[in-house]
Amino acid sequence: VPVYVAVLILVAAALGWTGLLTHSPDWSTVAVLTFLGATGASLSERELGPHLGVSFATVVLAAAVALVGPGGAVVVGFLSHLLNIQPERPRTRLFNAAMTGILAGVGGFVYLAAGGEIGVSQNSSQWDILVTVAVPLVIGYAAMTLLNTLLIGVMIRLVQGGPVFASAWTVLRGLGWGYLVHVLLGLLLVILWEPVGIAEFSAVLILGPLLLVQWLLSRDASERRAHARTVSTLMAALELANPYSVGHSARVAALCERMGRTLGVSDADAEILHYAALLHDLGLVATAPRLPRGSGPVNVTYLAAVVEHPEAGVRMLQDIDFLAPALPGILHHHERMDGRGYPAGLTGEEIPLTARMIAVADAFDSLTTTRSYRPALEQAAALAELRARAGSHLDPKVVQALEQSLEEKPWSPTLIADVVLHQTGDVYDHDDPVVSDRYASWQPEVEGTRA
Amino acid sequence: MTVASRALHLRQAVVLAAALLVAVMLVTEPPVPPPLSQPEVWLLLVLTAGVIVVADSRPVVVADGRESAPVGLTASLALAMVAHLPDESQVPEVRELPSGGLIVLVVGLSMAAGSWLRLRREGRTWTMPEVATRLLVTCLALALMRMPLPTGLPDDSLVSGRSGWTSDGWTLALSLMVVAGLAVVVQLLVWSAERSVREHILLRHAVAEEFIALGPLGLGMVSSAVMIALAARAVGGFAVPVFVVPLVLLVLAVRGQSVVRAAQRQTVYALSRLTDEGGFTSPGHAARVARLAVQVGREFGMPEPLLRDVEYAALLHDLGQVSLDRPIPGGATVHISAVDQRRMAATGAALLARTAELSRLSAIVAHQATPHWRSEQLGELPLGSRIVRVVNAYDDLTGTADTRAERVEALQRLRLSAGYDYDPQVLAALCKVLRRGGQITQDDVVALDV
Repeated sequence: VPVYVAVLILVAAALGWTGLLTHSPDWSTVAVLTFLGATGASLSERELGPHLGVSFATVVLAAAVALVGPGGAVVVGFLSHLLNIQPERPRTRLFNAAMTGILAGVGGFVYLAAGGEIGVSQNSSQWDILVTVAVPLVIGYAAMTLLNTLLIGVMIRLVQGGPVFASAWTVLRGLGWGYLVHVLLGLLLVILWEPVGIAEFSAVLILGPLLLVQWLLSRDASERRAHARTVSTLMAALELANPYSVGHSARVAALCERMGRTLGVSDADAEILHYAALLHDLGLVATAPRLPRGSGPVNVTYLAAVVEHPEAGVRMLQDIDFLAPALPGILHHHERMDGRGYPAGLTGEEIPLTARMIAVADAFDSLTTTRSYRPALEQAAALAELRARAGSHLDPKVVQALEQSLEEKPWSPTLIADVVLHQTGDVYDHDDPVVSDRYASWQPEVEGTRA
Repeated sequence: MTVASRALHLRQAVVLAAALLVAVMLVTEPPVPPPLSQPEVWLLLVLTAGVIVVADSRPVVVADGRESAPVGLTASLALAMVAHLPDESQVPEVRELPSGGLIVLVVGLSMAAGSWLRLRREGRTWTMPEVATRLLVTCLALALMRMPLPTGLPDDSLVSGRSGWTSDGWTLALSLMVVAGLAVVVQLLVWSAERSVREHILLRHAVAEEFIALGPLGLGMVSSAVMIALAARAVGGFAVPVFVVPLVLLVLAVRGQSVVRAAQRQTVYALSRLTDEGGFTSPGHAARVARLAVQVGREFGMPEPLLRDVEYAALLHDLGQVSLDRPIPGGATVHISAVDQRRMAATGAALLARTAELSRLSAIVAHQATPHWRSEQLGELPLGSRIVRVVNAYDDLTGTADTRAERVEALQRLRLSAGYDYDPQVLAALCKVLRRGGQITQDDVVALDV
């Protein structure tokens, strides 16, 4: 890796030297652009959530290609990442600086080759601008983007292994079409800078709104994170009412996350799954005080009260827009593969995948937690119990996914102290597979397939 | 004067002012179409009109339910501020620019077309005052562009550009920023006045809130309008659709933010239904208390962020009841002992204190159970708690059965403990709110002697 970074630095230097010989830039412009680029690089924020983040530094780089030529652009690109004030490992910093320098240089030469001109006069018509600035800039930028993904692909290969082109393709797809916004904004900066002739003031006009965008997005991202934390904290706090349920939601969410990785669930779906798993028993928390308590076999009164909870939960959450995709998972988490579950009696694949995953996690967590009528099972015993139910109660694929994910990192049972048990007395656990069987045994036989 | 009639006066004033300015503009600069030999002018007009129509047909909701079309407004302003088009240098004597009257006409017609498209999309149009405000702002920008500059030359203005004033990029850009800035400020002021009248809040608060909520967007509108006006010199009419891109990004970011705000709000409302689902409280109790508490809070001139806290605290004031083993009959906390009231309030407050977002509500929720006389020992209680305490008791006493006689009876009961259990000032404010809403009469208020 150090060799790779050193090679990149040398290539960047060579490109910069040739570029400076080809076209000698206006050094005050280079200084201003470098300052702007460094500011942009220092402000960049990751984890913006489902937003199209606009990188300020990339916009400046695209503009530099047309404003100061290849040599100047190498300087701007290299220095703006070198002067990034965010803490970074020296190797990463040098890699980013060198890579950006190379990109800028290559982009600059492609720009010139495609007929681009540096320093457009104030009297050129809009067609001149289209042919001598806009089109070459887009071509140059496309070259930069492709090279960028390739260089990252090589870096990924050196660090983690794996084919270069496949990684590059993944990176490129991750960027999406929205990435073209950068070149458009860069073009706007160039037009204001030169044909219009307001130079540095164009940075104020165009980068001002972008700074606002970046600020709003980062505030938005932190509020989003705070809100997600609020939801999980509240759920945990509400569970305190029943000592047997403390931590249950969080554990089910953790189990679902593990299974999701094994099953290859996408990031967006993983977030939905997380919320569904976290909130699946919200309806039960609300109705808990009305649930009959008792020991011995589960009776009809108890079942009649407990079957309401998926719908109660959905009723409470239905007006929260961002949770809408999670509702089916909450509503159907007590369905069974054989169609004898509640509330809708769906069978097999009719049950949403999130609901099937929650069902497995729910049953597993219930079995590995102390109950008033039995001790907590060890992981192996609980998995054996789940395997016996694959097909009738649970989805075999999901059970297998759970087994796989537990092989990587074992699960320790949740033990509840005797003191707590004596204080609370006997309580049924509605998640215990026994309860699901009890419910199923009262259902009529399923006739054929359901509509 | 009632709220309705004041709102009517404000709208009439806006429409009248706009009509006057538009008439002056149409007379002084008649809307003659440009000759076909000036394709640049046609291109500018057509592209601007297109952007306005598209933008106005899909307004965006920004910052707590304010609906607006920032891109349409910006395009209108920019059209008024364009002072140079390409190829103009060939014949300096001939001004190749649309006349002021024509610009006003194009803006008005495009907004009407956008409004019609909006009607087909979502069944609503822009109202007369909204169209009038847009025209007013556009005329203001036109007038500022035509103001004589302090150069001493005759007929020297930003739009005519006789002197060298406008040849320096920086000076020109700064002057245009002033023009666009003033126009956007006027727009924000009209919105604030409108909101102040509609929601019965102090004008000064409304202005402050409007500028905080829409400030970033306003800055974006100013800079985009200036960019378009400047870039039109180099790329003509194409500047309009291309140079609104940064503003569109900004609008998307602002909207993303109101999505998070909405999520917070919806979460609080869902939590408030938790006790309803468990059968602890009568359905709708929390929402009724919240609505009334906000109105009472406005009576005290509380600013919007504090009002939101009062609203959320009112929605969640019964949250502590989830810890009860068995529901209180009817969920009415006014009937249970003071010790139980305090225990429940403390439970609810402890729940909220665990979260980062809602922890500031916990003090309000905790003190809702503290009787008014204790404030002598404890010091001033939060106004929010005093409001929630009074309004909650009022709603518990009236319940769902709701006639004037029952309301007055409930208020009489509160009046008997005013100063001891309940804050008399809050009770007086509650009576004022109820009287304004027509739920009780002036005679009732006098009889209550609050």
